[in-house]
This record gives sequence, structure tokens and C-alpha cells, in this order.
Amino acid sequence: MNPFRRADHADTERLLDSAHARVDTAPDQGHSATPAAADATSAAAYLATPNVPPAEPVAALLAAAAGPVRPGELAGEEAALAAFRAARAHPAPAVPQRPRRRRARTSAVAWIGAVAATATAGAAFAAVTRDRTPDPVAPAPSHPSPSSQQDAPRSAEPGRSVAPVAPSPGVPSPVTATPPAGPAPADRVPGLCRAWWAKKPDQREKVLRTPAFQMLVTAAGGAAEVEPFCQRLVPEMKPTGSAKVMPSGSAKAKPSPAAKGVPSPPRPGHPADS
Amino acid sequence: MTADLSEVVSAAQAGDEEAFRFLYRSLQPGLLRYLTAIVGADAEDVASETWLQISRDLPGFTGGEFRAWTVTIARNRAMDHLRRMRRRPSLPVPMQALVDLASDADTAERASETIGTETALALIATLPPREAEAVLLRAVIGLDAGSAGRVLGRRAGAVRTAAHRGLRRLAALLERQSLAGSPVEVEGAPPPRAGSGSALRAPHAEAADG
Repeated sequence: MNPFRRADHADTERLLDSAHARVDTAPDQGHSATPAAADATSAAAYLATPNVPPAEPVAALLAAAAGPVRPGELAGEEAALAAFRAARAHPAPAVPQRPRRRRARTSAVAWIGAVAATATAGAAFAAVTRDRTPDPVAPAPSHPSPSSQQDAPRSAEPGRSVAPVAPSPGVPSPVTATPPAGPAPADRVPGLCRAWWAKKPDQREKVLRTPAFQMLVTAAGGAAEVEPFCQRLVPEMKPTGSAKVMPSGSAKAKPSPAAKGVPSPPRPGHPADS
Repeated sequence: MTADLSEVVSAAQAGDEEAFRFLYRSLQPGLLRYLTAIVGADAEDVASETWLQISRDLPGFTGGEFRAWTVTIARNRAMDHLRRMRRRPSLPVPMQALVDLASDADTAERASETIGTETALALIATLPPREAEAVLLRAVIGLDAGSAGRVLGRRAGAVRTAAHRGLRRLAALLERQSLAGSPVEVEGAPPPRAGSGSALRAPHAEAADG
């Protein structure tokens, strides 16, 4: 019979705690070398120990559920690291470049608020609530899609010192699409963008389903996001018709390619940038 | 563990790639397993989205239980995903797992020897979702009841109760497996099975709303 059926909450808590205690050893092994191979033994070891009375199959089940890393579970590691690098290179939360709105320019307070909103997700809410302007700027710090924020892009350059991943326009490095396994995949993301952009438009969607572009899709956050993502990353990629955003009233700052994610000089001709 | 992690988190926030890699390796398996119970076969996609958002929002992490923070992101992404799909996740795995388990496990002892991670997760996924989530957050992610409660928007006591019920259900399930030695006329589990996750469905939607 199964003694667990008479278990109380304390037993439950003990079981639950002990299940995870075993998992915590896994990353330590994995950190140094190949994680998937390193700890293939600990669950087996656990199950072999007298620690697990046969009368507690639930304990074994929990141990198995919390068992060591399985092959494939860390398959997205390089993609995650690429995303990490991309996020650091472009700390503004992935907002496509687009013309600023007139009202946003009217006050320095609004500008500061926009900087704060994109500098850190945590500060965003505070900044917006404090310095709120008539503009309904939603800070949306956790929004995965890059398409919604409007004032944020303005702070992309001054908000942080940005280490550009993309080479300067005119010096396109002819990187070809390569499989996403390698030492420094983030460096390849701009190249993947260019390779993708070089495809015929009607093939772009299809190639994103191939393994060669998987890293790009992951870094962009989805196939639908690849185009805006690449446009931010690779300045020479002009928006296509669908992605183009016409300035409504403020054509003051030219939507030059240089404004697309190339951070270095503050955009000329815009008062708020000075 | 949490203290160790917080140092790594700080390093990652400062841009240390190896620290971020360590976080990934530490947390991804648990996140993936948890997500598998919620969105089934799409778990890897949702995990990718999760790490993308973790990357972006990492500078805004202001302390606290980092595991809980990441699993909250994962859960939100999973809810978004379910909303997007507007259909229930297909969970082929638990069915197969139950069949495997039934054919393999003649005794409880044998069950505990042969049970693998996948089977274990599949069995947990047969629980009512509240219980499944409580068990996974506690045992697989490694949160305490309080942190798990914050992730789920419930009280610690409710998490404890749900986890306790879940484990009892699992115990009963395993016991019947071992006694019957043959297939799966298990009262505790089949309805979610046949409905392919109907029990998984409702509370998630509810959680998403609340």
C-alpha cells in the first residue's frame, strides 16, 4: 500500500522541497562543461539510493520530474545568448524607428519621461506616472512586440551608450546565412538580417522556417518581428511599403537610414536631441 | 540557492554573458518543463519568447526571487500563447506516457525505477491545472509556497493545499498502476486525458483573466 495516501501537508512540503534540492546541483555541473552530458547520472543515482523507499513512488516521480537536464532542453542556449547580446546592444525595448509625434516634442518633461520609459522597464512606470504628459504613452515594459510604443524610440540614442552591433552603412559585411551553432552567433544576427533581406520578398517568409534562420527568428522574437527587428539592426534595410510609417505632422527630422538604430551622433536637426 | 543566483543575476545585468548563460542553464529546464504542462508541444517556442523577454527586461529586475520573476514571465507568455492559439493545447505526450507507464509498471517499485522525467511530467500534467502548477512550481522550479503563490496570484496556503492534493492524486494514480498492473482505468486521471486537456484549460483561462 501507499503510505503517502495518509501523508499530511508537512510530508508534502518535505517531498516537494527535497525534489528540487536535487535539481539544484545540475546547473553547477552544467556550468563548467556540457550540461546535458554532465548530469545524466544524478537522477539514476537518486533513484538508486535507499533515500527513496519504494513505498514512496511519488517521491520518485517528483525526483524524475525535477531530474537532471535532458538532451535538447538547452537547445536554445545560443539563441538566448544572442537575444541577450542584442538586448544589450539595443537597450531600447525593441521599438521600431518611427517619426515622433508633435505633442511629444512640446515639453522636455515628456522627453525625459520617454528616456526613462525605455531605459529600464522598472523605472518606466514611475517615470510615466510622474512625468505624464497629455500623450497616452503606455510604458508597456513587458510588451514583447516592438510595434506599439511610440515615443520610446527617441530615447534610444541618448538613453544609453549603445554599442552598435550593425556595421555602419556602406560597409556591409557579406555574411552568409550559417547554421546557428557557433561561438559568437550574435555577431551573425546582422548578417542573417542581410541574408534574409537579400532573399526575394516572396521567399522571406519561407526561409525563416529553415534552421539557418532560426536564430534570427528567435532573436527577433518571432517570424513576424524579423523585419522590424532587422530594420533596427541593419540601417541599410529600408522599410518596405507595409512597414513604412508616414509622418503625420512632424517631418522635421528626416527618417534617414542613419536614424535606424545607428546610435552614434545625435540626430541632426532635432531640437530635443541637443 | 537564491543568494547564489542573485549574484549571477547582478553579473548578468552588468552584461556578463557567462552569467547569463549560467542563468539559462539553471532555469531553462524547469521553465521548459513547466511550460510543457501548460502549452504542450509549443513549450519550446514559448520558452524562446520567455528568454527573449528575460533578456530585454533583465535591466529592470529589481531584486527578489529571480526564479519567480522568470517563471512569471514564462507563465504570461504561455497565457498569451493560449490566447493567440484560441484553442486548447494538444497534449499528446501524457496519453502516450500513461500507456507506457501502464505497460511498464507492474509494481510500485518497478514504477519508481522506470519512471522517467517525461513520464513524470506527463503524469503531473494530468492533474487539475491548479494542482499541476503548484506541484511544478514547487518541485521542478523550486519555489517555496509563498513565491509560487505570488506567481499564481494565490495565497501560500492555497498553493500548499493544491500541491498536497496533487501529490495525493499522483500517489493514488501510481498505486492503481502498480496494483492493477494494467491499463489505465484510473478514475483519477482519465477525464482530462480523454478531453485532451480539458481540465488544463479552464483554470488557465481563469488565471489569464485575473
